[in-house]
Amino acid sequence: MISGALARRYARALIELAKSPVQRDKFGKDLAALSDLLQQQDKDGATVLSVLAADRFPLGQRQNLVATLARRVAADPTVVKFTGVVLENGRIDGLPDIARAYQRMADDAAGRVQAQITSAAPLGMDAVAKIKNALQQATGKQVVTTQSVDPDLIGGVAVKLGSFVLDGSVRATLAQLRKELRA
Amino acid sequence: MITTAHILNRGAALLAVAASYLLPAIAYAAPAHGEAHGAEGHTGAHGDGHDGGIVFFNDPFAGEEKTGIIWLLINFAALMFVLNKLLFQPLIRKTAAKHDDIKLSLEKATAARMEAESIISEYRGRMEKLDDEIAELKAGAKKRAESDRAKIIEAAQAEAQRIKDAAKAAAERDAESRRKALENEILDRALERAEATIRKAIGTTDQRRMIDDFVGSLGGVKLGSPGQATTTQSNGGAA
Repeated sequence: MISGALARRYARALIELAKSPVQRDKFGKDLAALSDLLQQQDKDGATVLSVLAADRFPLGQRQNLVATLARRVAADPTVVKFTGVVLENGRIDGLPDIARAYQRMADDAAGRVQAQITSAAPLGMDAVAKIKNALQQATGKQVVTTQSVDPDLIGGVAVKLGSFVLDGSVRATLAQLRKELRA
Repeated sequence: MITTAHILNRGAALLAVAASYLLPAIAYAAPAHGEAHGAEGHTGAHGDGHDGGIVFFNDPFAGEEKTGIIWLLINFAALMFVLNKLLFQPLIRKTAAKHDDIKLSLEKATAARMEAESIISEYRGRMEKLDDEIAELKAGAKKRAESDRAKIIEAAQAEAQRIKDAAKAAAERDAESRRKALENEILDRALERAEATIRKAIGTTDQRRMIDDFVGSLGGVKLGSPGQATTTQSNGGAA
């Protein structure tokens, strides 16, 4: 794990290497995929990322491992080189942070925002479309949605939009009611 | 301190004494007057000389009574001189010293007696005042005791009041805390029951309505850059 400022610096360096918006998004997807792959745990809870960060193996072997895994996710050669530089600089454990910072920067550059919609029950396509349209109107940006279900919400939806949380769930309403009654 | 001159003086005096005794002794050791005259017969005109007066054993002036008396007086004067030197003067000096010592002791004894009398007089005066002092001390002690008693009672009352106030405040706090806990418990139970009721009662229509309310609540909202860390709640009409 590395600091936010350092992660943004690496992300900015990679995003400046992208020659087009398409390539920028491709870098983002590749970096996110590679980061997810490196963070997958085996049965003992160990991750490839921890092995790469441990300095137990020679740098060449670790770079080969990264290159092999990058080919598996069909990563762009620029992303493979970038990951090698991060590894060489001893910052490989901050790759997930760099990937998140890159995603935010790429979204900002594309006028796009990520929205995580959580509902008590699965939502229909029309409901998701309504929410997406409302969010796009509220932000003035293109909204990319992902969905999840959490029965603890009881009813309604909660949307995580970047760093905003818009909670319209029954659980949040009850929590607010409890807070007001206790005050 | 005994010096050499003192010893010589004392020796000369002893010689003089010895001479005063030896001269008569020498005279005594000379041939007896009677014997000398015995041969010549003890009768006659000379025999009349033993009838009375002082007889000199070695009388150099035999037959001359006046001269004998003078010699006797000289002897006596010499004896008195020697006695005066050797006996009377030391005796006088010793007696004078003893007199002085006794006088000094007497003066000291007198002073001590006067001091003792003064002390006795002082103590007698104190004894006479003692009763008054005792009475005064008793009165002072009683006054102080009463003052202390009043202070102690006052302090005890203040302490009791403080303890009472603290206990009352603690009891009030405790009661308030219990009341609050009870209220919270009632509230939690009520909300739990409300949650259970809502869970049972909520249906697809309600869910759709809540989503519509949520979307409607977003209609008037303008979100800035969502990159800033903020948490908001939209009451999407769930209640």
